[in-house]
Amino acid sequence: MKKILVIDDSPTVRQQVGLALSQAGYQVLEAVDGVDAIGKVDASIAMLICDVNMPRMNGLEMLEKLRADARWKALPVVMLTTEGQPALIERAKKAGAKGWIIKPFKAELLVAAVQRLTA
Amino acid sequence: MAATAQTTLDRLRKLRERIIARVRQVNKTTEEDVLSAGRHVQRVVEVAHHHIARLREVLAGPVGNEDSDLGRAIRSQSEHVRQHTASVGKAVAEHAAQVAAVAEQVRSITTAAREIERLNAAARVLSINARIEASRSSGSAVFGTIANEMQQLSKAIASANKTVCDLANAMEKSVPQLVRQNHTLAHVVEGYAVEARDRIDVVERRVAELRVAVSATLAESDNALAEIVKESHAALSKLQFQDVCAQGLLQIDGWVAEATRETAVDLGVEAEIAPVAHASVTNDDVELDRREAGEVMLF
Repeated sequence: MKKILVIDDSPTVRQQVGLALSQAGYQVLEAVDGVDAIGKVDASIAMLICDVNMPRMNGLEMLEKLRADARWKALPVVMLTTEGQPALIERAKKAGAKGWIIKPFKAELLVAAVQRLTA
Repeated sequence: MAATAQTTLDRLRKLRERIIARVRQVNKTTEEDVLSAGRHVQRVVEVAHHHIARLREVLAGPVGNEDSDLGRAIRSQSEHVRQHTASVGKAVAEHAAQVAAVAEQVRSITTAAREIERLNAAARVLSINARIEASRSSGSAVFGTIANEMQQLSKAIASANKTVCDLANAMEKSVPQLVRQNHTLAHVVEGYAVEARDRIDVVERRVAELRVAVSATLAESDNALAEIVKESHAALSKLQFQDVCAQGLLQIDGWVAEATRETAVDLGVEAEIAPVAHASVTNDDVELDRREAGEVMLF
């Protein structure tokens, strides 16, 4: 069972992403912000789904910090956020994000994206 | 003037505190309810999964396919009945052959008895001739003895032959009864075989129908589960309003903080402004009604 780390300061978003992915057969781990996520990433994680606006360390900072570590260069990361500004999307893309999903998301599209990126 | 400015900033600070407190209270309430609704949605999906798994376990094992328990049991029982019926039919046919052989043997015995009777008649003639010869030779002891022995022998043969003939007659009467009984038995066995085949056909047909019905029911259950999961996804999508609204409400604090900062500048005083409640990488307003919401971009 593939593990997905969901990073969001909102418990409702973590729950909703978690339910959608667990119904699709994934094991879901949770982190409440970038700092928490950095501490939880390990080799068993197949993919990260990360909010942008979070306290302590936002999603883009976390992505850039993660990519600075050679071990996580290829780990798929998708940003899941209310933000939709092209500049932010471009920054995430340059930092190595594999996708950008705007909240509120459609569960089946999120699952399809995860299936594609973890195939 | 400075005191008035400070009072104004204090009022704004207190206003921020009240706004943040109220927004957090509202967000906490909606968050708890949405989390609860999410758990209910999950429970519905889990119950459906469990129910369908149980249905599959109960139905698929006994009648799900040709190799299922009931299918195997019925095939085994049908084969047993077929083999048993064939064995009984074979035994009845063998019995009929034996009865025919006995009838033939009885006929041979009757023929042999007639031949014995013919030979005995010859022995009686010989006995009479010996007695005549004994008279002619003035009571020859030799011819007399022969005549007596021949007569005794003839009587013994006649007695034995009568027993054989009686037995043959009795058997001739019994053979037709045996043939009739064999025919009756063959008829009963054939009737049973036909009825057993018909009943086996009915059972096998019913099992096949049941298998089709079970297969259709399980397929319908899978479709129902897929529908439930799909609806749960729709419900989860709808529940996401909470996070967007929570962020939107917290952003009010940012606006008041900005107003406080601008007021301080206008009043020409230094103001220590607490960080905004909503951490954001941009200053853009949270859009509560996004047209592009749900959009997925994969790079």
